[in-house]
Amino acid sequence: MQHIISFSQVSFSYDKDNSIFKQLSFSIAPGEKVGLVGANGVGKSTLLKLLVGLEFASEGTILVKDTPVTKKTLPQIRKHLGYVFQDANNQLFSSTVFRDVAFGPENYGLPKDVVDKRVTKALSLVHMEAFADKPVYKLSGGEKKLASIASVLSMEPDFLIMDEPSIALDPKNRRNLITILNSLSMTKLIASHDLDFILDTCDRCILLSGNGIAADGNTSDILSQKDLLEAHNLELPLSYQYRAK
Amino acid sequence: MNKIDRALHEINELDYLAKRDQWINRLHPLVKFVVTFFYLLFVVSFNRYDLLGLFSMFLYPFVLFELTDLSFSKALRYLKLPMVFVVCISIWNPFFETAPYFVTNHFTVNYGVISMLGLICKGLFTLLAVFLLIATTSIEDICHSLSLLHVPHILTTLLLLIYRYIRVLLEEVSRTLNAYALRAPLQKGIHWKSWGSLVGQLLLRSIDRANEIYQSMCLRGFEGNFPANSIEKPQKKDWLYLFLWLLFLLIFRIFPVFSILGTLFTVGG
Repeated sequence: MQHIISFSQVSFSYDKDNSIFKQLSFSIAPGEKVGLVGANGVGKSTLLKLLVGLEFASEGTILVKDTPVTKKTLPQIRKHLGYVFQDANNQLFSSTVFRDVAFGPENYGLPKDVVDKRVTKALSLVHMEAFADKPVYKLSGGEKKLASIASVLSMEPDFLIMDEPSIALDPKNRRNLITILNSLSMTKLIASHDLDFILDTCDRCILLSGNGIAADGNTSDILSQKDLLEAHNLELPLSYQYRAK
Repeated sequence: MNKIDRALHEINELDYLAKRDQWINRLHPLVKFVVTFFYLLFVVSFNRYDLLGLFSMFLYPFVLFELTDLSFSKALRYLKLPMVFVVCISIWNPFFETAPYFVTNHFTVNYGVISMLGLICKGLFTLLAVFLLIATTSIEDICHSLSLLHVPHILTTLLLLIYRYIRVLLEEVSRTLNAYALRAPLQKGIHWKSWGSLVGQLLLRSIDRANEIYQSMCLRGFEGNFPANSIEKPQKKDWLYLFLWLLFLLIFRIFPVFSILGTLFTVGG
């Protein structure tokens, strides 16, 4: 197996007149850290939803570990994928952090001692061990984000997918999240408007625009091209803007 | 804090109480559920004129409130709304059951008054017992214990989801009302012209959020049943708790303990 994820000639639209993707193709190799960038409405979240089977492509094939994403294969595919939602409030629904992080492993029928170990490990990866018994509603925005990541890490996915992970985080929590993400060795696909965040966490960048991929390559190469970014309604990351000044 | 925020706060507070590390919280949820179930059964089984027998049932909530640090006054605050409902229903009894129950020199107490008091007691005691259960047992544990009693999974899952979605709905209502209030500071309540769009938006946003929560569950392997493998089997202390309370309930239900005690004291005097 060369690729963990493969999109081949994928087309998708929510309605007949407006297609989001036309003949979209790309693949991700194991261990890659890929940033997905693009202006509002280009389909970053839709692409992630196609990958985890929350939406289905009208044409083309999406393969996860050589298994096509179809309704029948979803349970098998979702074991490999960990999807962190944009709004952590919508991901955390149990009464305590522990219960929420344990939800995935318990659903896969793992024995209690294994579940406990996985929860402890996942919480320690995001430095949230002390929050295990804390009610979810008492967490701050940053803590909720970390708890939602732990709730996915406890499933020990091969591939971590994140939708706008840095949204609504203060600078300290954002920096903390970057450190944590960089310490995780699994394959990652991160969709974000925060180009500096992508620069700090991903070594490959895919720029989405108008039904497909406008650029795909090394993150710093793509995110340093002012003209390219401006042509697709984006701006240089702040770190490059300061450098230019 | 508006009413919706207060309701959310109360739900959060109940969740917090249920998650504390107290002896009663550590008891097996199945045992607490069974005791509560039989207590409710025994309370409602009393004749509505048997006030003395019914009063003996107050011992259960009384003992638990004494043995735990739960606040009785706080419990009454939680229960005020359903209690108003109970009182509104029972208050009509004196008008329908006018036969005298006992007569003193100054006034007559009819059967309606006795049955009204009986209904109020039954309402209060059962609500207190349910409060004690939910303030010491999380909703997940209650649903697990229902599963152990072979209640169909679809019902327990439904119960859990409804409980979770109540919060989602309340959060959305709170957000919507706050956004409205901040942009209509001179207005009391919501203008009737805005009701339609507000309710519509609320519905759509709630569906949207509920859908996203459901998706997040599906992505973590949820296939319609909440996992039930996290609770251990009841231990000796759990069985002892169950046995003692069932014994108490049986004795106080079968024998008119208060009457017997009263007779003993009267004879003694």
